[in-house]
Amino acid sequence: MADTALLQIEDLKITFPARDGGAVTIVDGVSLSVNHGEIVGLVGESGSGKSMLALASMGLVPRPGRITAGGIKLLGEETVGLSDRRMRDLRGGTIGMVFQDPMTGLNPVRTIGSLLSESVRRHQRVGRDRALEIAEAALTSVGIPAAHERLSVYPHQLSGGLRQRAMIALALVNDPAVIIADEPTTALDTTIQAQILDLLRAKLVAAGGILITHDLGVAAEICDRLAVIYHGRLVETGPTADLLAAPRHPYTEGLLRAIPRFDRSRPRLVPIPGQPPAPSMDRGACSFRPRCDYAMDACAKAPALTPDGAGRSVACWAPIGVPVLERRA
Amino acid sequence: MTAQTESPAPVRSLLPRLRIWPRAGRGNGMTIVGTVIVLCFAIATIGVLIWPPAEAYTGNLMERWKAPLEDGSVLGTDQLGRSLLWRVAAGMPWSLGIAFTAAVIAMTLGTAAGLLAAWSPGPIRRIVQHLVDTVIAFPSLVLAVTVIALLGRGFWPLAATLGLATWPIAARVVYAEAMSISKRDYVMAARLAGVGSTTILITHVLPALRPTLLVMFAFTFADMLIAESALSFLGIGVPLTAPSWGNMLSESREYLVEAPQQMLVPATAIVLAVVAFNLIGDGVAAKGRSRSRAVE
Repeated sequence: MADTALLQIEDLKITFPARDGGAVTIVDGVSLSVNHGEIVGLVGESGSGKSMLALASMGLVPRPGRITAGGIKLLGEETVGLSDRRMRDLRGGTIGMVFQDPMTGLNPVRTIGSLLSESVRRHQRVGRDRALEIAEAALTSVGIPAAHERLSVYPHQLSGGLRQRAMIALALVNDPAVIIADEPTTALDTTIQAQILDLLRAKLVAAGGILITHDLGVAAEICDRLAVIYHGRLVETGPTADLLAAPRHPYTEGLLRAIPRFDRSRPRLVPIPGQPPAPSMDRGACSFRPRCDYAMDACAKAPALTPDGAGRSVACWAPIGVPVLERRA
Repeated sequence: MTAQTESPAPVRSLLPRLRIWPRAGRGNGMTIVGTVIVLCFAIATIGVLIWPPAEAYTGNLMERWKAPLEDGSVLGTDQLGRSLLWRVAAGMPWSLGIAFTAAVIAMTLGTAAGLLAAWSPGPIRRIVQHLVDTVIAFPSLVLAVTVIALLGRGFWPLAATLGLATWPIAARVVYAEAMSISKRDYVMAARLAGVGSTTILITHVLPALRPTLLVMFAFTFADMLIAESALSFLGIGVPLTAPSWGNMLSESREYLVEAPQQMLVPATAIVLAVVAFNLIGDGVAAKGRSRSRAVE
């Protein structure tokens, strides 16, 4: 199973130099794999490191940050430490990324066709005309009507939903094996969100993908597996349905209790107390301890992400809903 | 979105369409007036280069210091009886030519240095920045005197000196602008698509810089024209016999009372050219501001 993963992130650690000469760890020992036809949801608050993980997968950790440990295998090829030239070939070719904001992600002075064909010609040895044909096919495949005419249109002439579709086409135009979508629906209004999610599900399932979101509703909609990230570490992973039905980590439970539900009568939403930790906060103890209802003495030491043997993992000394006998000391 | 036709329309050019006549909008009046004046100057300059006017160099002492419109002279004559109209025309290749060449040198060097600094890792960036600071701190008059002393008076020494003294200003503007552009999402999107840095620089950053460069070129040109005139006035510019506008001003100084037209004609030419380029610069800048508001 592990050998066939399209994208395999292993024990990845990303650090930034701090002003005092030390280092701040943004992503700390995250392991995550994406198999063919699988959509993995990466869920976490702002600043939890989820976007950094996406950029690292694209080989674009922003300076002065760097990957200090671990590796990222793309189709079995180690990409950490790969040459710039080779990484550029992979980026946009083997692995594509859909961006958060369709309003600013398309160059306003370039036509849709020229943006798409730029990427096509970067990765495929084709001429101008053929590149435009491929671009047109990509636009059609993301459900943009009158794709042929849209090639010569500038981004400002498209609506928000169409622009996000064009962004998705841009990420998919070279048929990447892995697709990363970083909060692709955040900037859209709700009805368009649903359409774009349907489109993304179809596209991500055809390859393999990571959906990054802070919206558990979106994640529940299209993901097969979920990984919850907190303070740069995964705290819980598992199949979407199981994880949402019976969260084991107190943080996951807190996230779920903070979502408005219409199918149950719950008097009020329960916010998670406190604030997300600063990336520089000490990692000796469980990072969620200050906000956790169930905190106990053992939490002074950070728990490791422990698999239960049935496809779920949780990093907690006392996972919720697990019989006491199975709990670790 | 007028695409209602069933049959596939031919893909229009993917390049931005060249618009000869600007759309109505803020700043157009200024731009058009400025452009018309500049075009007149440009045509006159080319004409003078093709058919050099002998009248600018040979005069009749009997006809000196004619007032404008006196005895058939259009703008009057100077102390040697040479036609001021023809002299001011013959000075165009010198004054406008030097200003243009110097502005091109300054803009090219400045753009290259600014982009290099914006696109390079820390050490190279710091080297460029220090170089820029050094050149700006260096007094340009001293530089000009040194170059003229070494190379002699002439078109190229002067154009090169002015260009070399001015490029850091362009470099600073381009650097700041390129830094802000390189942080934009669409540059990130291009990077995510695997487009190389050099290609991104040429196909994404440079086009976004275009309005800035155009505005800056207009203002730089005007500055260079004034600088050329000033240096020639001081006698460290073009050869003393050349009818550049600065030289004409310099000659007129001794006859200010007897023949004010000798000062007024080249001075008006300088003012007209400077105002024209400033109009273009301001017009384009105003256009850019109103457009960026419309986009956001």
